[in-house]
Amino acid sequence: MGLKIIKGKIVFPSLKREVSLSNPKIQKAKPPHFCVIPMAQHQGHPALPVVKQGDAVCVGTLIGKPDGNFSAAVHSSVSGTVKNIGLYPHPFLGEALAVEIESDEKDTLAPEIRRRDIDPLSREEILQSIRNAGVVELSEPCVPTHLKLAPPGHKKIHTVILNGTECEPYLVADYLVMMEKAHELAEGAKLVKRVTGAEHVILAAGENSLEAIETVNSKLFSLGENFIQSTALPANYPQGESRRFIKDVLFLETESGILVLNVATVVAIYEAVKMAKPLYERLVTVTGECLAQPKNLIVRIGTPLQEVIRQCNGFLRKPGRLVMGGLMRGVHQENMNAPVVKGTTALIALPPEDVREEEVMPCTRCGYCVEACPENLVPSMITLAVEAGRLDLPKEFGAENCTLCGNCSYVCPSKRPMTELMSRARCSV
Amino acid sequence: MTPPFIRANVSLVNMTWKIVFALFPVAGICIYVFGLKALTVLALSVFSAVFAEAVWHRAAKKKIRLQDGNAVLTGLLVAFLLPRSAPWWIPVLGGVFAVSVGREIFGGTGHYVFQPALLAKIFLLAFLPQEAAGWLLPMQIRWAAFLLNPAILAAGFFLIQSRIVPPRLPYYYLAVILAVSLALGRDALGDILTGRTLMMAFFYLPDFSCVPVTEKGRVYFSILSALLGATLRFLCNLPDGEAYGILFMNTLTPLFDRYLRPRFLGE
Repeated sequence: MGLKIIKGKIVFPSLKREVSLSNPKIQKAKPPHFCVIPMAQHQGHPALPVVKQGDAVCVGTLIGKPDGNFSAAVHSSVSGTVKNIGLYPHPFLGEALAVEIESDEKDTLAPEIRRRDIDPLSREEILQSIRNAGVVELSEPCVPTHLKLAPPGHKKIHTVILNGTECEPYLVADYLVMMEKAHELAEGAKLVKRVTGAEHVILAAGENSLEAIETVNSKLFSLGENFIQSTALPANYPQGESRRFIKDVLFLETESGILVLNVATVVAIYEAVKMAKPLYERLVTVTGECLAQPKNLIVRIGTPLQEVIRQCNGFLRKPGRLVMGGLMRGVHQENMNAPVVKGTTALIALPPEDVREEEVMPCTRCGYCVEACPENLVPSMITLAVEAGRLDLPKEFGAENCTLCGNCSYVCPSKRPMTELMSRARCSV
Repeated sequence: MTPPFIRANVSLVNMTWKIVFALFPVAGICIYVFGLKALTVLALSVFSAVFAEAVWHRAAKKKIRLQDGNAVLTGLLVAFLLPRSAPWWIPVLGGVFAVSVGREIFGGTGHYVFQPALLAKIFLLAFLPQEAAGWLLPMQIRWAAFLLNPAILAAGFFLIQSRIVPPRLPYYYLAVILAVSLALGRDALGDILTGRTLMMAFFYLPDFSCVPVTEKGRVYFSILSALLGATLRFLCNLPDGEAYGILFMNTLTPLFDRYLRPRFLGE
């Protein structure tokens, strides 16, 4: 059958991992000749530029300082000179303040990036180095990590869930991180445990990446550690940052005291503390049937999209859509000059035949969206209320709980723009 | 341009046509047993429904979309509710009434409040009780009933498998009818296997537009409509009592939708 729904989760007919894993190793992308680094790459206030035109910068030099606590630092990703500070295209925001840096092709590292002993560091020193490195959650909406590790109000964190469940088609970055960076992951998890004082650390991965769990477990064994429990969840959508996910892992319907961190973020935390390495590059899955060579590249932040595509030997044919992020929540990219940012998990070149403009029919109240909603909402009622202009009703139906996962749009037989209407409902609450 | 960039392979048009195809074997048995008479009722009802929809869409300056199959389905469903001996204008009237008053007055697909075919049947019964009494299904003939009940059941299970009929609706409905019949000391299996109850449970009750949208609402809806229908049929001796039961509950659907919402996660 064309549609499979399991209690608030949808099961994709194909996860298309074989497309993204056709080059199954993480590769380093060549540093770009110039990069455009936006100041707004995280949730919260955009960073404030601290360089001016003509300044010489190294890889990892601070170019944007955080604007208050609810913000994150931004660093240069190439060595060279600052060419301009101004408005540049942004993959999610359209246009935003950014620093353009021209590379001198030498790729000199900033002097403060070096290995150090992490054992004597205090909790505050660890948090400070994470903050200095500008580490954010490595998927949209990119919450600054220091806020997640030490939430304001001093709430006690008792459980940390390392999220390695990738459940959208084409996405394999978490899987590869677990496979190839198991050591960094284990060390990072130890740091997180130290900082938060959590009692339990749980690694949650999809049932389709059991070998990745096994890799992490054997790495833990060789390190003589056993503080991470692991669990495998069915590979359906949405997993990840939602109440439904916490319920699946811990059988609890609460978010308090539970910290969910992406596995890639944990690796970034380790690198930030161990080597004082700022978050100036990230793993991007560049994939899709329209791409000559799908690759998993470690790309410098600020690399223009066309440069990333060029390093994968370009397009085989014109893609129907170029999506940044997963297919369920990603953003279509029109401008190939937009840069890779900290929240870029993947670039997917969708074939034109997968992009269908379907006619929107009226809601028949079939109830598929009710079945597929992970938050137990009634999307059909909420969207009908919005369309009818009754903006007082969404509150009654709990629209503020919507996580915009896109399930209701995915299952709708009438092809209504459910997610769009739901976000309007959420805004009205 | 807004996410998600993939959609499930389901479509409304496809779902409607699947119901029509699921009804084909049932219609085939009727035609096999009663020959031309049954065929005439079926054909007249379907054609008049399709014609009425075309006229309505034309008048409303909407795009005429007969390929959606809605009018064909409504016409078929009306035909099964009419006797084979009906004069030619009864199915014509039924088809036109079901489409125009049952569906299009409310705004067509997804907007109508009452199951259109049942509404047409009740209308005909009220004004032409002589001509409109009885059903097309050949249930009095024993061997035909042996063919018909499995055909309806198979069609029903096919629709449940294809996610077109939410399983809760027919299951709870049949269970309650069975329970009431047993409680009254009647021949319970006989009551169910007259064909009408099965048809009601699998084809007339689960019309998405007229039933509640939540699971809880659907359960209460089917239990209450079965209770009402069984009471009218067994205690008031109304042969079409179940139709009244479903139509009455249709009026309450908005209330179910508003007040029987599921518990939010973490609430």
